[in-house]
Amino acid sequence: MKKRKMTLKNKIIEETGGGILKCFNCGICAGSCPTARVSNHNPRKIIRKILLNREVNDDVWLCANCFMCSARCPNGVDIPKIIDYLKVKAMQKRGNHNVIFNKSFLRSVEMFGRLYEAGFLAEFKMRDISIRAVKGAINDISLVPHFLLKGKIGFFPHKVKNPDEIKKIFKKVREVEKIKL
Amino acid sequence: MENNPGYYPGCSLTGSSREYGKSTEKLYEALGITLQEIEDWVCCGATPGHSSSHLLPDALALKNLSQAKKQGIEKLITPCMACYSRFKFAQYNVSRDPGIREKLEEILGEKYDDENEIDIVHPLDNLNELVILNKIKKNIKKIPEDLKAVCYYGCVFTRPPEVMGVSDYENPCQMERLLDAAGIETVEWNYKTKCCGAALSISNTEIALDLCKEILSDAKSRGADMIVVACPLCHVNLDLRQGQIERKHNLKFKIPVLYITQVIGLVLGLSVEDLGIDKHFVDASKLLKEKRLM
Repeated sequence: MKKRKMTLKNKIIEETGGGILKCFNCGICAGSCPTARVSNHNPRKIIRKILLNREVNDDVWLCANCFMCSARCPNGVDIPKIIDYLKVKAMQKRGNHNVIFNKSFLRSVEMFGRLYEAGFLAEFKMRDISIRAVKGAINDISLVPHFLLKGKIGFFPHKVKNPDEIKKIFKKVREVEKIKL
Repeated sequence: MENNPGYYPGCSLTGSSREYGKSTEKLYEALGITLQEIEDWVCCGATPGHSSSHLLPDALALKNLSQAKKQGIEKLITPCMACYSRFKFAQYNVSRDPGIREKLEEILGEKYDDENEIDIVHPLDNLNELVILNKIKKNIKKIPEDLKAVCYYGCVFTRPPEVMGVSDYENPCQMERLLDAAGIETVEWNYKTKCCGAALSISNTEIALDLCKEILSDAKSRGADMIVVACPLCHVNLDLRQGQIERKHNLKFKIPVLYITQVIGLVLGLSVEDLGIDKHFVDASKLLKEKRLM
């Protein structure tokens, strides 16, 4: 038997089920997508490009995981699952601020078992040094006094009693899923 | 007799949204329900978890659920929407996909126990249980005067509907029922279950600011005095970022955003400090004094 060529389309069918093939391009997903209204994000186009074996160079990180697209899809295509597949794939490479965001967050969880908000935010803001990010950081500095005055952020991490157990889970996930994390 | 319900606060409720955690704990205390916290709980991984790995979020959730089972917990109260969603997803995946189950069992080094499936419950559903709702009605101490609210549920309380076990994913009514019992008028509006941008608030702030502008504008135009929420991220985006949204779009909202647990706590006579209402960015005290809740 001839081996099926491992295009992105075939890979996604293999990993997320064949649901994507049911897309008939109606656009309800794009019409329901909140970020599509305020950016150039478009789930319909992403699904279409995959099905037509075109290169998907869209910014999948603009998906906010609201699950409205799949809830309303008349054919039940699990679009968020497909977008998550693309996100996990993007995480394997050096990437933009979204990759840094996720890595900084999970590093904190792996280290302490819980999110250390102050540490995570500081790391993310320091490592993300685009002009957009610097502008954002300057804007957000105005929020810092509020956080401090209201005692809304802890200075020190909460650590679980057995952080090694969590490190082991991360290690096993890397092995079993064969991913960088 | 039923055990004390379990309680999973999660990272937000012990950190930047501690007033949601505190008000939940105080409310349950006032209702005479003892919450049993999961010992040494770990983070659910939230959005970065499922964007980085297909197995990690389920593994972290099952780790917590396995600890809960050890404590004899049958029902788990999970106020944070992200954690609530991740727990529901983990149960959904592990009970439907044998391939995933096998991998998760390998990662965690233990068999998944089907027999004692834990009931993952959000306070919105829990407080609506007849016995508790009646207890709330019986213990009302303060009746607000002509207070109008819009209820904002956000995304994952109802979606994906098949995972969350919901049929009417665009029109949930749990908060309306609770506020109705508390004598607060609720107003129909368009943004009940529309997205606030969630974690994009940190990584792509401008998008969250634009989405929240629409939500705040609709609430205001419907004549609401406040927005009631049940998710820490919705609260951060609508309350903490409200000033930034006003500046960016040259608008004025000044609309207080309160957690449902704070609102119910107030009518039951709990103090503003106990409920952490003084921790919000948009000051609610003027409104609450005017409406005789404070």
